[in-house]
Amino acid sequence: MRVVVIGAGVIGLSTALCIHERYRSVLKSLDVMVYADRFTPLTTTDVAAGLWQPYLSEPSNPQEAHWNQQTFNYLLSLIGSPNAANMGLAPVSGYNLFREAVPDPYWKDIVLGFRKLTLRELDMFPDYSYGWFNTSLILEGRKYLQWLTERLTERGVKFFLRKVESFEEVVREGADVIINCTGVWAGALQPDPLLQPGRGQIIKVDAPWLKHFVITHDPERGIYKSPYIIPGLQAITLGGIFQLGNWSETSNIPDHNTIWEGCCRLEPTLKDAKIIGEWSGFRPVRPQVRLEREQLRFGSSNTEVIHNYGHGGFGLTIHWGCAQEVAKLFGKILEERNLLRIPPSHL
Amino acid sequence: MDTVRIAVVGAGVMGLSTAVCISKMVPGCSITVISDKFTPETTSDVAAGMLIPPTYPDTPIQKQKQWFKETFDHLFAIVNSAEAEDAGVILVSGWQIFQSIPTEEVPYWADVVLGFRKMTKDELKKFPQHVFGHAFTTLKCEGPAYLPWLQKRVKGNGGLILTRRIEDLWELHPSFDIVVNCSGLGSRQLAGDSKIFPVRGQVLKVQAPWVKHFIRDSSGLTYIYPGVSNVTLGGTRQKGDWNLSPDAEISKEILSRCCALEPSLRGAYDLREKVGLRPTRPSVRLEKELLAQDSRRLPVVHHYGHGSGGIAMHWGTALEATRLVNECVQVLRTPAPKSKL
Repeated sequence: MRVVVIGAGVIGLSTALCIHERYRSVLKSLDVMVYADRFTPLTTTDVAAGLWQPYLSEPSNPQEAHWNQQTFNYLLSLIGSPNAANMGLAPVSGYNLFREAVPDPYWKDIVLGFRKLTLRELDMFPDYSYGWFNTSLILEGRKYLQWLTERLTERGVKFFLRKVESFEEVVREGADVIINCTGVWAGALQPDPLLQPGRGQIIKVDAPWLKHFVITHDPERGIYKSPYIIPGLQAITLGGIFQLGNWSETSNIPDHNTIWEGCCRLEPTLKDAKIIGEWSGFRPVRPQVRLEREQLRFGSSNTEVIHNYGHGGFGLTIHWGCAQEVAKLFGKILEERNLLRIPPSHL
Repeated sequence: MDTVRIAVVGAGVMGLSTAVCISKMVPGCSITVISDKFTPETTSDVAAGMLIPPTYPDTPIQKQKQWFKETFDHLFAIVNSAEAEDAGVILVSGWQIFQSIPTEEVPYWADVVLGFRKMTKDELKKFPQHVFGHAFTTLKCEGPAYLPWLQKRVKGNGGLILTRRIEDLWELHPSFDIVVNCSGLGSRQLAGDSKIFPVRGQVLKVQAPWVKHFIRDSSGLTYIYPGVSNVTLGGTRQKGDWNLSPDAEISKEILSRCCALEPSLRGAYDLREKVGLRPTRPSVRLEKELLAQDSRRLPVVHHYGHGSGGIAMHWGTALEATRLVNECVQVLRTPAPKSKL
């Protein structure tokens, strides 16, 4: 069984790992290969701040809420392992701020210790009058991708730097199943008018005295268009840019100023912070995550593709639930083809 | 009106904060801070500086709450200003955990810190040996930044800072009119106070920047306090132990206890051992004393003995010490009654 995973961001690598963990022992042979034209630190995942937090409103596909929860519970179970920090994982607490009262988010019982802010806490943020406090998790993209790469390498999964121009080329080389984790660039392999870039720009600074995330919300402007400060394992990510349809990968000065002014207003001590760097990335925005099977016919062969892309600004937040779902679909393919030696244990 | 000359003995958090308070609240006086040790070599520099107050057995709870609240409010104003980083004050959230349910589930200071509540069952899952806990947000005030920040303020308000080891408070007579004694453990000698004794604390200051929360076992023996640029792991409470040299066995043991609470600390690096002697007393000594010898008189305001609550209580007690200093100044300024012939 030859599986080609296209894409080496968090979605590609975690899906590859999930499939290999579940099926290696129940197949006569399982060859998993990762093809990508970008690897860490050049993927979209590397730009993400890494805070586990879904969007505020319920997803149109209720499965996504379930995948978010699965991911949080999975990551939480790893807290307490001595390796957590090596994976890029750590608990982090902080503030979500609003200018007026809003309903509680659907994920309030998934995170830990969710509560509303007291008046004294709101005094710290003069531009905001309502908010939440909760404990969540940081999963830092770069460290996590390095960790996933190590785990995959241990398992004999091979990585290839190549730009895949079509599913057909991969099929002709002998792939049985293709896992399409190409993120915002999925349209190049198969047009998808529902997929758009949600360009983000972030500034990474050294400000180790900041221990909390602070995310502001402006419901009129939309998600991630309002300043946010998110501590990583070492550096702090400052952001607040979300531009639909903008494919510019270079960081620009007007966005830098928007981020810098917004975040310094929120946290005046940032004036003393040293800037480490500035990055841009494209959130793969889609009304729903595309997670489904598709059969492709090229000549006489039938190839299975499992799509797993379009995770917007919540890729790290949802990744493990999606990886498990892809693994389930992969299992179905194996059953249909009578390839299983013994039925896989269902997690 | 003559300038009243005030000497503050001790340049830890008590001496410096009292000097700042006096310079702001007592008009017409000159301030000189005199000490043999300055930051970063004071006890205040070793302290983690967490605003989680102890309980002084001999002090009314209302008074302790007042001191803690005044200190918290003072530092909270700093943390919300652009000066927070210079002053070494940060906001930090975390958990105090109990191995058995305490008789007092809500401590007196619960409404002084931010967002105080009991830990949820899910939160407690992280600590399998513990059955109860508090979750809250508080402040951390770090000596190595805060003391220089205070020193700048003392000098900015016209105060002098002198290096000198005082062996006897009378050395300050007649150059000074009032002495403020903030000498901590030094008061055993300087004030002949046998009630004060050291409680030795050994800590490790380590690099573990992924640790964003404090964790404190309610016994006060094991704690993890993330700071600006390192994490303090502790500790010990060794009564009557004056030894300032770190003990390697104790360091191993502290690391092991902390790793049990936070396993990721096994990846901590750049470990540095530090020792501080908490100046411990059944209550803080905050009172006036008029020293007399032959015809000489020397008003002294004692301000020492905060044990493990120095940083947590410093501003509240400094304000009270300043009120006492003001009383001494009033007495000095009241003209002596003229005998009527």
